[in-house]
Amino acid sequence: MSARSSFLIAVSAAVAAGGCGDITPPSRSDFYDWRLVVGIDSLTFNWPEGHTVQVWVQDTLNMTANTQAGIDTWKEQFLYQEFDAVLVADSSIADVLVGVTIPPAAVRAIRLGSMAPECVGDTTFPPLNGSTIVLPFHIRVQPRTLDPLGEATQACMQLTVTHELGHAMGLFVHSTNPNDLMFFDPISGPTARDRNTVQQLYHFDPDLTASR
Amino acid sequence: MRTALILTGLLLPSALAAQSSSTFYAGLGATWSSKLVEDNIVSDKITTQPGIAPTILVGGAVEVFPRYDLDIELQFTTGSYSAETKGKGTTKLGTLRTFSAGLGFDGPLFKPPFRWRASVGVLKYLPTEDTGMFLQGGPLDLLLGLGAQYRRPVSSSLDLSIALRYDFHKFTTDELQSQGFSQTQQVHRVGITVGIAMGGRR
Repeated sequence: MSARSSFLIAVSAAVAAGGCGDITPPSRSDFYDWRLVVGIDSLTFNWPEGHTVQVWVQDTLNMTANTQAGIDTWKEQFLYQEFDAVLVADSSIADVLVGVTIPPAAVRAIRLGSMAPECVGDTTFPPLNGSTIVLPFHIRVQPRTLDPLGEATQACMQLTVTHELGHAMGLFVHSTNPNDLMFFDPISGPTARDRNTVQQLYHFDPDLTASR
Repeated sequence: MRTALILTGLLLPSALAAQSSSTFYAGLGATWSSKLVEDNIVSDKITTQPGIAPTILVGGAVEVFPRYDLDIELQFTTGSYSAETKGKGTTKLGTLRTFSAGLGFDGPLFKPPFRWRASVGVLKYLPTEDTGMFLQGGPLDLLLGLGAQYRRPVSSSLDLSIALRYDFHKFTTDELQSQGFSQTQQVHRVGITVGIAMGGRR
């Protein structure tokens, strides 16, 4: 076997083994509407690329860990780092405030709630100023049991704060599927539908911006 | 797996040292890689690709037929990888390292200073952070390669060695599959290293 022929055989074998082909992305066709309905308008909001959302948490009832778990859960839904958030110690610079309080019964705000047997939560922000959301988002999670550090209540509070963080990310509408994290009374999640929805949301041009 | 590959790399030179016709070589260089994933979300076309990565290459060969060698080669690359959204910009996703080990067969190419090489091996992706498509870790892939090497004496016992390497593998990750990606991406890599070689034919 000559040097040239052996080289050509090696090249041919390598090319034949390689062939050609591309990975095929999923269709992401199973998703729910996320848009905020204001009058006759349906409006999209997402945090701009490169902005790290600052989240302040009231440090009680294990909410710091629960909120961090919620942030991590949402970040894991993305492939290309479209969303990022960190906990901050200074509430005055925060984009999102997470508190363990009773949601106020009457406040002039856009309200997105959730409810489970062990806890209740909601996310509010002031009425829009034109096409601007005036920060911060207020998330409130409140235990409804006598044992707020109990396993069931803590699981509820983590799930609920994750759900509420979803609202603060721009998922302004509840899913109609009870399995989804963004169902009004979530029992688990996120599901593939939640992931498809938030991935699509972060590749839509927003109608709304956020400002302090 | 990584431990086995490292042990192989450490033990091979001593095994080859017993052979009078053995060759050792090492080099530094750079490796270019084609895209890992192309995705479409809404109207965005997103391409994820490693940047040109600094590369370390070490290898050892022993003559098994006249003018033909069997070799083992280890390669390590470290560099960034990023996602480019067409028309919108690029997001750096982090640091991506690869480690590969290949069993090769090489022979003369055209005339003596040049040699060709064909190889089969494995490639392990080692992201520094388990995020995004590497959320469930980096894959271990079968690697097929081709190469050419140029060697010229620079002293009584040392040669200058320039190695050109091409390889390809089929890429996917557990996270991509769990998110519904199907098929695999053919990834092509081209690298060049400059270094030294010792022993064997000159």
